[in-house]
Amino acid sequence: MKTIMIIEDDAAIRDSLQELLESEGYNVILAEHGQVALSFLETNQKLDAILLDLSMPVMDGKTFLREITRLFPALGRLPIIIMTAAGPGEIPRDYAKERVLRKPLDVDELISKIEMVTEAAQIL
Amino acid sequence: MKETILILAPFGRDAELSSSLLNKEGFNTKILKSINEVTLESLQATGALLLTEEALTPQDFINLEKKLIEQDTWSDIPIILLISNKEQTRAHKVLNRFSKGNITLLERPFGLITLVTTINVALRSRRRQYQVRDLLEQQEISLRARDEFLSIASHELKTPITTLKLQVQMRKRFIKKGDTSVYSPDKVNALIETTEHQMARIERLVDDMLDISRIENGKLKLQFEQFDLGELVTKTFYSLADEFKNAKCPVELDIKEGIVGRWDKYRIEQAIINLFTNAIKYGSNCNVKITVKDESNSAVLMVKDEGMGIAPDDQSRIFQRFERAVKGGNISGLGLGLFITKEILELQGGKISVKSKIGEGSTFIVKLPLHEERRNL
Repeated sequence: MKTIMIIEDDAAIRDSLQELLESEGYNVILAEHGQVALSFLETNQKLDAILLDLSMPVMDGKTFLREITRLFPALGRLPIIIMTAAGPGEIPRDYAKERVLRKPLDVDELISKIEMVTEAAQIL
Repeated sequence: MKETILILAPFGRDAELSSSLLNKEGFNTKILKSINEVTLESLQATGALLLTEEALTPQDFINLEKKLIEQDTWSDIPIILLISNKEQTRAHKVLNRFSKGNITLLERPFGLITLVTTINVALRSRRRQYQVRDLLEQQEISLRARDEFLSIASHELKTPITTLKLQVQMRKRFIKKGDTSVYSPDKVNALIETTEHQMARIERLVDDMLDISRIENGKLKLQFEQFDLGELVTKTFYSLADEFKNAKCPVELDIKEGIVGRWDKYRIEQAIINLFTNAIKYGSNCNVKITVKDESNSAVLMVKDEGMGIAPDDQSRIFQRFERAVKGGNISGLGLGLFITKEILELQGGKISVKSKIGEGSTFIVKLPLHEERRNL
């Protein structure tokens, strides 16, 4: 069973994503902001992908991206899909298009992107 | 500087003479040695130019004209050009050259009163130009604020819409797969509850946006009625008790009942909700104390949290439009809550203030007049 971590501060979005991904057969881990996610990674790094919101309190998505690279270089290949409601300016430059989802999220697009990145990661 | 007249005469003595003459009439003056001293910047910051034709070479005219063209849209500096009556043809040439300029030719000899009134007219029109400049600046600032607001508002609206869309599309997907559990009472109830909650969020955002526009246009109407402030605060607290619980905020209520006044109940409730949700948002996992008491002709409501606190510089800013102490989009909301709260309290003769220390929390204090005649309506 593949494991996806959802990092999102809005409880309603987080719960909806959990329901959706579990129904698709994924194991889901929830974190309400970047800091919670990093502390989880300290003890468990068995993840297949991360869904990351950009605008969050305590630690936002951009900081999380910087910190995960700094603290867990071994996770360099872990696919991270960004979710954002803001304009293109908020997405880190050079971030791969296929790893960006715009809010309001589209369920089919979300599922196919998760499938794509988790399968690609397996081949690697 | 805005009222200063720059003087250029062929001989320094002439310039000094006219300058002291004008000073006596109450004008500020500055003598130029050459027209090339005038930069675009000083030109735009000056009241008027008083020039003598003999002091200008044809090249000077060309240079001056260039600067006149470069002026900002609002600026059309008045120029008073003194010419000799023997040089009518040159005067025509000058006029042609400056046909688009704000120029008055004064033919010598003329009396002091002619010069004084001409300068007065010039400065008067110049003052109007500065007013236009200030208005344009203000307009640009408010347009920028509005743009920013629209972008924050659409961002905020997308959050509840994301949940609604996820819920609906997810169910469509289940149905497509033949999963009939979608129709079970539990699942239907859960969907209804989520939908209701998200719709309420959208409604609140839209209400805030409408309130802002009503406040700005002076169209916020109040309906006064007599009620007990303590009762309303208690009722509002219980309606938000779950949210306090979810944010792990233990709440202490110290409510004096029987504090009755005539205020707009709906708007006061809105103010109370704003203060409570702020305490929840910025003081999660911390104690909250809610107090209602009376104090020399005022009803007082205090909401004290032990959250992150507000820096002294930010304490007045948070009551302005679109402002919040925490920048960077990490806290949701339009940044309108405290502005709306302050406006609706002031419309009822009340006021709001904050006492806060970084790391120790904040106390918001609302004071409402207990006697209607004290209200400045």
